[in-house]
Amino acid sequence: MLPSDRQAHEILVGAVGLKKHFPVKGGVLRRTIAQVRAVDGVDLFVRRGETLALVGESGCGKTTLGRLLLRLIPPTSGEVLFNVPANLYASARDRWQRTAEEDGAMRSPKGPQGDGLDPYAITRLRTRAFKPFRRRMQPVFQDPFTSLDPRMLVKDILAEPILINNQMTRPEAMERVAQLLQEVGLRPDHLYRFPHEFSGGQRQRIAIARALAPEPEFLLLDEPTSALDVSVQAQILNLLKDIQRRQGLTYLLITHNLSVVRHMADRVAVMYLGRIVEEAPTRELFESPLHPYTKALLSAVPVPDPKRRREKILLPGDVPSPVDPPTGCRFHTRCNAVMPHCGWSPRDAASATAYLFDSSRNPHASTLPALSEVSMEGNRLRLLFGGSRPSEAQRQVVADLVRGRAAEAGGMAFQAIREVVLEEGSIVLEFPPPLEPAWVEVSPGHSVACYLYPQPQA
Amino acid sequence: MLSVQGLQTEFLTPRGVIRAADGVDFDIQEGEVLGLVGESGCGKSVTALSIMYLIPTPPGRIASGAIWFRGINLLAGSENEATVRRGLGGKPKLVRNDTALRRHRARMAKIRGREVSMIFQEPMSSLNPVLPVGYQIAEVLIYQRRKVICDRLLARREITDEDLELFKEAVTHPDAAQRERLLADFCLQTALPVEKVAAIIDRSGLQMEERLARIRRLSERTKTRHAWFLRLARELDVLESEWITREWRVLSGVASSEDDRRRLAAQAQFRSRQALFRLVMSIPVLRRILMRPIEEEARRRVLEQLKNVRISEPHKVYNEYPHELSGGMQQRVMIAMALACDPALMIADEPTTSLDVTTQAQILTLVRDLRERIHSSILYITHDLAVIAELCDRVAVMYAGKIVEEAPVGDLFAHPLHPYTEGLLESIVSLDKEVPTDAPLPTIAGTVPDLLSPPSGCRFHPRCKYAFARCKTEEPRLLPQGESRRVACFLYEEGGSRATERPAGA
Amino acid sequence: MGAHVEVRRGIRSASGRAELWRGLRRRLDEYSLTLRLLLKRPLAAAGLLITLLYVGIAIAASFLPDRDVLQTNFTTAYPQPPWWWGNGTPGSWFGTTYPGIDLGMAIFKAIRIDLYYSSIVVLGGAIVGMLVGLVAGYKGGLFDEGLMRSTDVAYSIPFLVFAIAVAYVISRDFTTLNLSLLILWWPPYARLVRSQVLAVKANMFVEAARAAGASDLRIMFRHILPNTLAPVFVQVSLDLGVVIQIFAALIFIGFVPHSGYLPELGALIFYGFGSEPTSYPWTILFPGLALVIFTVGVNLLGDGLRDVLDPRLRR
Ligand SMILES: Nc1ncnc2c1ncn2[C@@H]1O[C@H](COP(=O)(O)OP(=O)(O)OP(=O)(O)O)[C@@H](O)[C@H]1O
Ligand SMILES: Nc1ncnc2c1ncn2[C@@H]1O[C@H](COP(=O)(O)OP(=O)(O)O)[C@@H](O)[C@H]1O
Ligand code: SF4
Ligand code: SF4
Ligand SMILES: [Mg+2]
Ligand SMILES: [Mg+2]
Repeated sequence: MLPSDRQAHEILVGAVGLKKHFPVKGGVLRRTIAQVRAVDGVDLFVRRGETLALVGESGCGKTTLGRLLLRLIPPTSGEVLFNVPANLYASARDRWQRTAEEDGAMRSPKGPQGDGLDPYAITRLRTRAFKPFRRRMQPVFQDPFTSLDPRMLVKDILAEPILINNQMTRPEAMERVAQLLQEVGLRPDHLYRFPHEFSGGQRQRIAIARALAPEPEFLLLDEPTSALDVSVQAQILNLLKDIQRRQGLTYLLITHNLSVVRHMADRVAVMYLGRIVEEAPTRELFESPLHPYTKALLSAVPVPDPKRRREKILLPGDVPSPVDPPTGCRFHTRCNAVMPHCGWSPRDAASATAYLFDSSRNPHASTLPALSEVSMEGNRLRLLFGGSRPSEAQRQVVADLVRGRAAEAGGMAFQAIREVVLEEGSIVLEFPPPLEPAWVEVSPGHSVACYLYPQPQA
Repeated sequence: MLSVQGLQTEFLTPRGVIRAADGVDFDIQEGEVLGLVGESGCGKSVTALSIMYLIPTPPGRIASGAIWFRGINLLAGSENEATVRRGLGGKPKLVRNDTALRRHRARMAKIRGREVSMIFQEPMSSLNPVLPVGYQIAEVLIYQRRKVICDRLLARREITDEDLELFKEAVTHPDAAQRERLLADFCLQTALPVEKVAAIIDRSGLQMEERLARIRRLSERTKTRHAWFLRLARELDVLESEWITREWRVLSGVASSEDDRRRLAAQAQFRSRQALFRLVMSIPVLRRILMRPIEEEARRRVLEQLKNVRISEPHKVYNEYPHELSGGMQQRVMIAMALACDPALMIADEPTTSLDVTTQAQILTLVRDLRERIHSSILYITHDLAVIAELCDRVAVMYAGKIVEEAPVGDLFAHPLHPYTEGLLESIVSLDKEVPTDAPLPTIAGTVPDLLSPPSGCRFHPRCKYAFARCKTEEPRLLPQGESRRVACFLYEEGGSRATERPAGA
Repeated sequence: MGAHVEVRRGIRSASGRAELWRGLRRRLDEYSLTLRLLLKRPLAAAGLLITLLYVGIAIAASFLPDRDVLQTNFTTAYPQPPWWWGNGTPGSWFGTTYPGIDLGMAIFKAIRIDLYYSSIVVLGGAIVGMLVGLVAGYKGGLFDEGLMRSTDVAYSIPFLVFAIAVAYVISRDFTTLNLSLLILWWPPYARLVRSQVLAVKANMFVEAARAAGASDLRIMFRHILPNTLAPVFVQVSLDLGVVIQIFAALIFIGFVPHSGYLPELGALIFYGFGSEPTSYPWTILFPGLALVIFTVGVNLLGDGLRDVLDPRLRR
């Protein structure tokens, strides 16, 4: 047992620099050919007794983040702290950011580091030492149909966590199980039934009872109502609220239903492609969202009133692949407030160049030699013109074309081009090195990562 | 346009008879979006599947009712397909009449996809996992839209100088969007495959002469050949539709004398051509050569359709397998498939329930746009009232196999009549509803009844806060309230406490 | 937070027993439901009946004295027909076979031996395969990779050739034959179980158990294994028929030399062939039938089980 246990500290669960990259295997030899950056550098904390909501589109890494916090999977890098004083958490976060900047490829430390965080960092513990913590953080999953073992009776499902943790004798556990069932609104004779004999809402109640069984302090609610009907959803939400009030639990509520968030949460964190982009107290987030993505999310919620239509901000396309997320601000490919310095890269301009600099197609490019190839090298886009070496005058033509395109609608990527240079018989368009927007606290407790808001001076 | 009357669909399970739809009544007008709401298991999907005639038999069967669609009764001629007999020990057993079933299924197959199409709740389960998605849509098109495809192929002609001028413009026009449009125009005029033309345009470093030469070669390669076959395939399609429609009218008892006369003639003509067609198709080499242009044209239409549902890289998606697509993409592919044949009625069974809000918003906008563009009617099934409010003109509320209320969407939300509707509306968790954070959300007490043994009388009475003695014994009928609404509740019948209230919209 | 309760073990109150008993009864209900569903299918019920009959015969046969089986009657070395077969021997239901053995008794004994050895191969293969598949599917990684490669190899060997080769090199007797079959019999089970484990592992209840602190062993044996058993049962019953046929075939071709008489179905057919089958058809008819009926029976049972154990059909 860690020494930190003797005291209840302000922050129950905190993450610093948390990353999880899943390898994508392929080929005959099943080599790793790419990394899915499911969670890619997350700092997040949940205060004792509060409900933090985590929202975001499908596939943005919410579930993965939850699994990391509960240490159900090991992180690629970063640490999870449990029951930690607020000041220690803040300093740990600063320290991690500094080291991460210096040494990009750092791993999670294993074993004691002697840096004052040892009593709190559960990611440093060995499996055996971590075991007593398991019961203190419990999950409730989205799909009530696969989250209960179909071959176990309800009483065994509920008693298992208690008995595994040696908390009670079997008869005592049975009494507690019956009481738990009542607590979640089921009858004691439901104990001797199999999960398939229940409806979705009832199963979700059983799943909640199971999570409560080992007397946890922290519940991870991963879309607990999204597989349920509207009327049942309200019942489950009421139940969760009621339990929290009675037992003083701390919740991390993962969902993409913002109406639920409004009803349940004290604070909200918005996630996009493996990063947290905004974090604020619930009321403030709903009244004055800052990040363009948050605004789009909020506007997409359907209004149950035919007389009022909210103006929708439609996000174009799908979420980009987390294997190769966009450079700079990850949202720049879909953002409606995007600016030239939001992290454009050659990728964004490549398809347009095929027309723009092709003398046989674009009449304005007729003085250029025939374009033979467009290649990307980091933040540089290289134009090759067959055998001929472009001249300075031709470089000037390219620069003008870039400027002209930048002025047109949809030419934002070209506005970002810093320089057009002549190099080794080719012309190179240089983009600025992609930087992610900094995490700025705009007002107390309300932080956002977006270039629209004043960035700290470097 | 579509009128469902007294539809009863039942399933014979080992535990007993489940009447999943028990006297469902509703109409959909031309160009209207009707929302069907209700909790899970109340029979929404079963109603939709009944309209499509996709109820698995056994265990299910349509016991009675009529579904009138544009002047024909879709259930006509299906009455004897599955009958219930008492088996050993008095247990009911389903006896299937396979010939009748096969014949009716064949008739339905010509309507399904072409006139009525459906988007399923689980996109994965209705796409074949081992075929590329584009190929699957193309297959539907080749089966259902042979006439249109053949017409277009037959219209192919030599390429003219005018066409080439258009092509030049498509290559050099300064505006990207305009280039796209010119490309589409060019392909429409010349009936050349878009993909190949686009490849010629996008290739960098080609001189214009070379591009034009390539286009000419392409046109040469894709010139209409085997016109006899295209004509045969077209005739086949036309005759089959004629025969089936006329026969169906006869079955529905609404046939004219013309129908009676032409029906058999069309059938005979169809059969003779079908024999020839089958013969040709049975020779693999011939089949490959002859079907190629039809397949290519179908592919072109699929790509167009994929673009219509705002898939940004249709060529890439065409060749992908269902599991490689995200949920939102899968659902868009399903919509593309449902729209491929420009159906008059589209049934969407919870198309966005498994998706997140942003994707849901995209899909809803898509459905709304499509409705404006092709004016088809939509039956939109969901359990989310907020979606109904955003999309629908009228709503039917379903509870335990019955429609309990039907109203224009504005009236329903402003003034729900049925106590169940009232409860549903209250239990919505809404962004705008200021709930004091500590008060519990209002809910409907109790749980959805088991359709195996539904409650007596009004099926909602065990959960209804207004229930009175009569509700337990008698079943309320769906009666008109005012001009545009209907409700099934004793409160609004003679002697009920709300009988005199004037409902909104009356 | 709730106080930790001291661990007190070993106390089983009356209420505790009642709870266990009630849980057990509920489980039995579930099994009897499966049985009832099985019996509702006429073919599956027939299969079950046949299988039970053979098991019954095998058990009963082990109590028969050997002498009765042999009952060698050298005075009439030619096979005698059963009593109902034209001028048959009174009292003999299945006649006799060369060299004067009572065929009925011999078939009973043969069923016992065949069932015994084939069960060893099939059940042994199933258990070994299940354990390997369970660990491979659950742990993944190198072990899994190794397993998959070795089953590939095992698949590519024709098992009859392998069994013959092994036994030829080591020793041509029943035990060696058994062992060599066993070597080839577990890999398919390992594959089957592995694929099941991969599917079950993806269920959230596994993750929930891990979150509750369950150890890997507990998760594997308590949560995953029970959910993978259904297809194994089906496969076992189908395989029993196959293995019995293999045994009979190998012995029929005289692969296992046996000094004197061996009560085994293949051997019995072999004796029949040795005694002019055209004149004494019953000598191959009855052992052959015994073999065919058993194979059909276990196959029917297997198919029935496949249907009944499919959870989609349960409710
Ligand atoms: N075990 C894994 N191996 C490889 N990739 C994974 C794995 N688990 C998750 N991913 C990938 O990581 C990304 C984030 O997944 P995650 O399940 O956390 O999303 P989510 O935000 O919970 O989405 P949803 O709203 O659909 O539940 C996805 O691209 C997913 O495909
Ligand atoms: N193939 C089937 N076999 C037996 N019962 C079925 C079948 N399909 C649907 N049902 C039953 O019909 C009822 C209505 O189902 P459904 O229409 O799918 O509900 P929903 O309103 O959620 O779409 C349910 O009780 C369901 O169990
Ligand atoms: S930094 Fe802000 S404005 Fe720029 S792309 Fe990202 S979200 Fe949009
Ligand atoms: S009929 Fe009676 S029970 Fe049914 S909804 Fe009306 S008041 Fe309630
Ligand atoms: Mg998730
Ligand atoms: Mg449904």
